[in-house]
Amino acid sequence: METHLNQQTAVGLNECANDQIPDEAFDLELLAAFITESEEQLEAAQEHLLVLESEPQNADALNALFRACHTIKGNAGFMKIDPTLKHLAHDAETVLSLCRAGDLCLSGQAFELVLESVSMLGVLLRAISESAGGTPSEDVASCCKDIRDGLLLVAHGGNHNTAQADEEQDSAQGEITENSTDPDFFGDQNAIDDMAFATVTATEAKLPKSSPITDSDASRSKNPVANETLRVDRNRLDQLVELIGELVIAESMTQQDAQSSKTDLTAEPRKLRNLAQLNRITRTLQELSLSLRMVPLKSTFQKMNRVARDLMRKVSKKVDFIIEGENTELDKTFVDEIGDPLMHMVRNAIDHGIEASPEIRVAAGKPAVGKVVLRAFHQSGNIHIEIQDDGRGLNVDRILAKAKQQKLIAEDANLSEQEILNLIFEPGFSTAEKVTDVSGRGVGMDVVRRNIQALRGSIDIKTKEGEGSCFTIRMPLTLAIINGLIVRVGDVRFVIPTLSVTELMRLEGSKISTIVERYSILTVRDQNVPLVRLDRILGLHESKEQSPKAIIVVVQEGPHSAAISVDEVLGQQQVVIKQLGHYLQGCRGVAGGAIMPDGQVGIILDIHGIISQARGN
Amino acid sequence: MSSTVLENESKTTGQARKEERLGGKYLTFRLGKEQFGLEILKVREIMGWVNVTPVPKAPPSVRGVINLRGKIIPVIDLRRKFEMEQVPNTDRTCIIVVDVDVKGQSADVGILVDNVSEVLSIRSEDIGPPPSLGCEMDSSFILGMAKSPNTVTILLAIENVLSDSELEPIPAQSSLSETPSES
Repeated sequence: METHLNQQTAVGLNECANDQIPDEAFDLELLAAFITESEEQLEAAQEHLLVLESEPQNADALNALFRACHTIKGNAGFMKIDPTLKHLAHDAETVLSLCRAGDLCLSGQAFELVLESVSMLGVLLRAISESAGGTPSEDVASCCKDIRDGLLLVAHGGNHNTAQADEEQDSAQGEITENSTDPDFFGDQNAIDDMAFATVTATEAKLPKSSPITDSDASRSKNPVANETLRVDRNRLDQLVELIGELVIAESMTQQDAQSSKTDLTAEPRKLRNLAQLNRITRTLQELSLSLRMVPLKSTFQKMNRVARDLMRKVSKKVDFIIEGENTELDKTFVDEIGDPLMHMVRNAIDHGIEASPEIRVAAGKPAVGKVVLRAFHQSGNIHIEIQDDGRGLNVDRILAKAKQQKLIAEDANLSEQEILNLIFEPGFSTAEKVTDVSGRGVGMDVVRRNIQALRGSIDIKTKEGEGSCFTIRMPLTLAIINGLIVRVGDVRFVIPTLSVTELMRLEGSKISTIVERYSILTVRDQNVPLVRLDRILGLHESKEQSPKAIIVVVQEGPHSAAISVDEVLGQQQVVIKQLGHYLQGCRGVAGGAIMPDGQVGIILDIHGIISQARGN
Repeated sequence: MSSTVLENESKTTGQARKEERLGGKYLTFRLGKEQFGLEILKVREIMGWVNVTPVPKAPPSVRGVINLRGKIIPVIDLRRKFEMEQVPNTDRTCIIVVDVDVKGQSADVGILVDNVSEVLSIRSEDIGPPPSLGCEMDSSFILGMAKSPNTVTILLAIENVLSDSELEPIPAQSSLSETPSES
């Protein structure tokens, strides 16, 4: 026991010596995030394993399990933690990769070994979270080694070792029966117990008795990896937010009633004071409720910064990693979900995007130091996250050749450039020649697209060979708040995202020219922009003649502008975007709805859709 | 021989069970002179006419959207849906909020009706099968016809009414998930 303690302290000291001090707090934060994330991955992995137990050929579950291992391995690679975890995940991944390719059936011993690895990863994770990056105990380490040996055997030569493994398991089973009478340490092992597998459980059983981790814990407990957030059921939170919204509306109605009532309120100071108090509380509540789900991208982006720095060191490249818009706020769900894809993309940009050596860059007439920009911003009610590099760009011919070679498409397939670029999102596609722990297994972009699509977002590639590529993730906002310009057309109120608005002007005296009497063009600052009649383009019935008092709202989305004529501008306001639900998802030009202060619904316009409609596509 | 008998028996019990299931409480409402019934368990709430915000480019039977305690829900005009004559709103016009399954997800949808009558207990033996409506109209939106001394109540299969193709969410190509075609 003593030796363990010393060993651990020594390791701890070593780590401290190597670390720059300012990094430490950051590392802890990062480690906490890593642990939460990996635990989630493991949870998912357990579920997929259950599926695979009955259907070893289930490709979806196999892919998902593989990805889980891959993500854990990838993340662990960047942490200053004991490498056992990474190695174990890597070996499990190797076996799973064989299963995916159909060279191995995930049953019998292979299945059990993978199952054990997953359970073991959980044990290792817990050990790490308890001792902030510490080394696992010898028991755990030796158990890991056994599992890894088994995995490698399975990977490299079929199942001829079954007899021996069975024997091992028999003996391990024996230990379980011995130990299982002690309820203390089985109490918190439910998840693993459900699938109690011999060696792992046996080791676990040993752990608490001799546990160097728990013992040495006391000495290190000053900085445990604590999670200070509180997990709340999502539905409850949504309900709370909705109810507060109702409260605000009810409150403003009460205020209005009080003001319009005939009695002079100044005669009732008590009532007046109470109303003011009510008003203050509801406003604060509303602000709070709106911010409950929103978190800045900062932590995710900083993590990317770290990922980029570590990767640069690993592949010895010099790259300027620039972060823009890290304060862009995003729904918590998005921030959680976007981490994985972003990490893959940042790695891709540095590992594949930027040229292998400064000499190549200089020869191509570029600065020796590469540049990767990670940028987030709102555009017309969507959130955009861009990863831009000034590297070599994507080679369309090479992607095509590789896709054909990997039989992702037919030999004679005729694809457009964009379609070819999209091939990199296919499962199993990778142009990297070597499998490393950074990239090359072809899971990266597959995960990226899957995760982003799960958020109902899209991902675009812009690339120019020799000049670099830019990946843009575009996501709709579910519960995000935008600043909106409230306008009236006929009797209907619309919300135009303020970010898209470039200017407001009166129709009177503006230069309008018509083309074949049907299309109107407005000249704004020497630029011709199409004039959009909202009532016409949105198919509203009131199509009165344009009143001369109309106001022109000039909107811009990307490089395109349009002028929208509205009857009146009612003001500017923060609104919460809500989806209109299943039935109305397909309405073009409509991005969602917002509940206005009077309790009615205002329609949020989708400027992108309107402009593309105005441009006739 | 014996097997045929068994088969027949099971068929009749199957049918009986189906009709038995139909018996129960129904919320009845009117569109013009016709009386309709909705399974009470599908009804969330009944509200008077509120201002419905029209949604541009929505299917014709969708009157618009309303705010139901912070949630935005669509309102379907049943008269438009059934291609009946349009009438102006009265003070008896109601929105019945029903809870329906859309592709496995439960969703609240408001339906606009002329007026709400009452909650009726209908016995299964009073319920007849949906009539055949000829080739012009599909009768799948009718659960059954409930007979009572003075009137006939059309029991609606509300899920079928609301999941007609024109109301189906349009997959993939929604304006939000659309990728910019150029830049």
